[in-house]
Amino acid sequence: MKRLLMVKEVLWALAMFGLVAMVGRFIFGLGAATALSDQVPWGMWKVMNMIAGAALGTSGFIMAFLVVVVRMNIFKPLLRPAILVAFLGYGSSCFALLLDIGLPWRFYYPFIHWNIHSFLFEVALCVTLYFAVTAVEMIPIVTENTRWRKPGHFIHVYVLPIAIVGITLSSLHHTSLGALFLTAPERLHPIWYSPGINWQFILSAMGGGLMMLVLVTLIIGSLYQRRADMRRLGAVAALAAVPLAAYGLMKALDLAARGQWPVVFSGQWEGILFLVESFLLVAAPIAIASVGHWRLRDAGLWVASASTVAGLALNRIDVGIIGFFRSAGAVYVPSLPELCIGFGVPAAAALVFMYVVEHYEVYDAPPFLPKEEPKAIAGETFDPVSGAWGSILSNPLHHISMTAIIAAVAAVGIFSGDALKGMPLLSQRALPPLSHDPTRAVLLINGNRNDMAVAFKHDFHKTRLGGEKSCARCHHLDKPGDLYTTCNKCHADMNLDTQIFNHSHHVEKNGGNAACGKCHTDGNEPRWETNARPCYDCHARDMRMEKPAPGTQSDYNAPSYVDAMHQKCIACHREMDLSHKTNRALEECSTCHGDMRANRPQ
Amino acid sequence: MKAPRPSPLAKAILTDVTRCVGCEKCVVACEKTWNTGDTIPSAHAAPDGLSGARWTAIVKIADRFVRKQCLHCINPACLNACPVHAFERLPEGPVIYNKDKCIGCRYCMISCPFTIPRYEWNTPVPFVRKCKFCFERLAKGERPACTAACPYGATIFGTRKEMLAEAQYRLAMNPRRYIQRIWGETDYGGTSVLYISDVPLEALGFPADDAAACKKTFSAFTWPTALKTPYLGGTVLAGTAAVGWIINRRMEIAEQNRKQHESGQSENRDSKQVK
Repeated sequence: MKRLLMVKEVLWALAMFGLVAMVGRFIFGLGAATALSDQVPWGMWKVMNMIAGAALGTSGFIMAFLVVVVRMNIFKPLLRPAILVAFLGYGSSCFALLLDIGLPWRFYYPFIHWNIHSFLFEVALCVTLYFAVTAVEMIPIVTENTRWRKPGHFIHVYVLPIAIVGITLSSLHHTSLGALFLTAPERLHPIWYSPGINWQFILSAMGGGLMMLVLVTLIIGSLYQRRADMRRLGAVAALAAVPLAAYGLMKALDLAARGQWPVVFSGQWEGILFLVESFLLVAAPIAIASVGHWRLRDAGLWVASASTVAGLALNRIDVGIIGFFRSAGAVYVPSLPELCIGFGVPAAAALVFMYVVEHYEVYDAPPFLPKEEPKAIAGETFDPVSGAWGSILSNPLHHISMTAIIAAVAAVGIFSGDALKGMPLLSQRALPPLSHDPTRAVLLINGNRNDMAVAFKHDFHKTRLGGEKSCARCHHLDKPGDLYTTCNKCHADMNLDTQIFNHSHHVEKNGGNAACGKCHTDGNEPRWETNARPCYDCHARDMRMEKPAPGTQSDYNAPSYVDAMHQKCIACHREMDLSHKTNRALEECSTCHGDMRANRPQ
Repeated sequence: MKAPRPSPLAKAILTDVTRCVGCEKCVVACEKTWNTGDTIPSAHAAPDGLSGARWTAIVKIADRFVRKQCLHCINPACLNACPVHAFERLPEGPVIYNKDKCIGCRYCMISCPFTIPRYEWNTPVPFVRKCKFCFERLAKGERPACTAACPYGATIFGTRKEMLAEAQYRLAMNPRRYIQRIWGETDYGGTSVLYISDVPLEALGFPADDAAACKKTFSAFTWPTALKTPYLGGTVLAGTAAVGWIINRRMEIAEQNRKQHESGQSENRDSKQVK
């Protein structure tokens, strides 16, 4: 019972983190909440939650087929759990999908704007309809002992056509989920891209979904201390091995036909990943399920089912995300808010699952209830000093609520930092210019060392602008002791502003907190840049700088390297244009960036 | 399903890589004409420069400046892929995006082999962004802003016929300079933005010369499978219904036999008693 409580608390904490992250996603947008990018536009929510989640919910339609259509009674007790797994699996997938699309309030658009060429259109329609079917199949379960049991009974009578519709919809959308990736032959890695990917998806989904049912049943049994029927679960595992074997065979033949087996073993990391995924999804579960006394043991079933579920999730992530890394030239690692929602949504679904199992007849024993009933405290006298903590410690419901509240507050605290603050600028260190020759007559200005350098005629500019006297026009601020400080010493980042004033260094050098008055001379509070002495007052001797006009120097912010270069060069060139009436448009980008010879790296 | 073919009205842009100096006037013209917004380097944008706020960019390929923009394919992947048909292809060639239909699924971004559509990641109401061929200006008889801005004639606009003829002329006049291929003429069924170049342009997303993909169109990747969908659905529906009916029937018959057997036995018992 303690274990169950702990598990519920962890799930509530995850769900609360997900909830807060979700609010952030809606307020700040996808860019703030996710690590998605133009290079990898599909990530955790679309691929793991939606595509893998749908694949793991297939036990619903398979059990419907076996029990309702084929009337195999051995699986009858697993029909209701399978339907619940499908309902919650699809429900949570669709919910995560709503969070993933950029404009969730337009979720119903695929119903009114059609595109029969698009597999995503087919998926949208089919998944929504199938979710509705699972909801209908849930009605008898939740209404059977209530006064709404008439509609439940009505559905029970028509269970066969409902099941057939569900099976048809499922087969359509599982193949279409695979077919989504048919549009990307050049971008998806050839290990995974295949003209037959739609069949590979439905076969692996069927195996994965059945094993998901086994895993869920084992977990519920372990949490509620009920012994699961090994014979029945072993039969499901053996059944799951069939589509998994078909998938394995089909994939092996497909790789051979497209000549991709050498690629798998070529040492590329995609090949290694594929072998791991195939071991988890195909080799391990089939091996365990084929050996009778492994299949009928706890350990065997735990390993087989967990391995298959992990392998299926990994396969979908490989096809939907990782297989695109090489062609995109970029990787994707989910951000913290993304992880919170990605795990928070299934956590919430798991909590609903446990609630339904506890309060309705889902597994064939009478409804599960935790062995200890929550103690009611209504009517007792409440001592706010000891009573509050007492109830939180002894009453499971209060305990969980406290955990949830703490998790929510912690989430708000964590996410109010930089995690949800919007698109970060790319930080790149600016490096000093180089030169072809020791006299440094021509400097190659290339702060980020890409292959676009500007060949800056340093000597030419120095001569034209007045020799030594003109240095300060560009080298407008020298660091103490560093004459003709290069630009990148202060404009240290390519795209971000940098602070050039090191406050703690100055405090230390001038005598700590007693020295505030040395710079903040007017005695006003708070002591800020605007009431501090200008740098020139102390550093005029060892810094070459133009004396600023009074009241202007209060900003120790150095613009980015890119901005600094552009402002300095273009401003001058614009002046030159007007005053010298040159024929060339000197302030054009190509004046500096257009010389192809100079653009060759060292 | 017949792949779409270019119409006689078709317009095209010809970009000659050997003439581009990288002045980026086309980029500025596009940004100014359509107020595309601030371009700031961010972790969400790709290094090639295209983003939600920049619809054409200059990339460096093998020491050359190459203009990257939406190629306005004749059989576009984005149009085929979008579940709500938010892309539309005008007869003149432009493939335009309708922000009133978009749901933000970003499937177009996955499907385009040239990785053109970009997203507005940093706003709560984001849309897909890409070059729209200045189709409103075309309707008024004007040229696209980028081609009007290029001072070196590196990117020019005309009818597809004219542009193909010009490209062929230049290739023929300078056979040692240019790679003898008009990029976009037949690739993926043809594009409305054509390139001639002295360096290979596979880095843009074009297939290598002898790849079978060069001749295939996008709908060829997906439509044959899509056509089979109703058959798949129908087969599963009919198959499960048939199986269900057969098994149901057999169970009914078994039940009837059991009842008959029982009543037969009880009749025997009755008859025994009467005796």
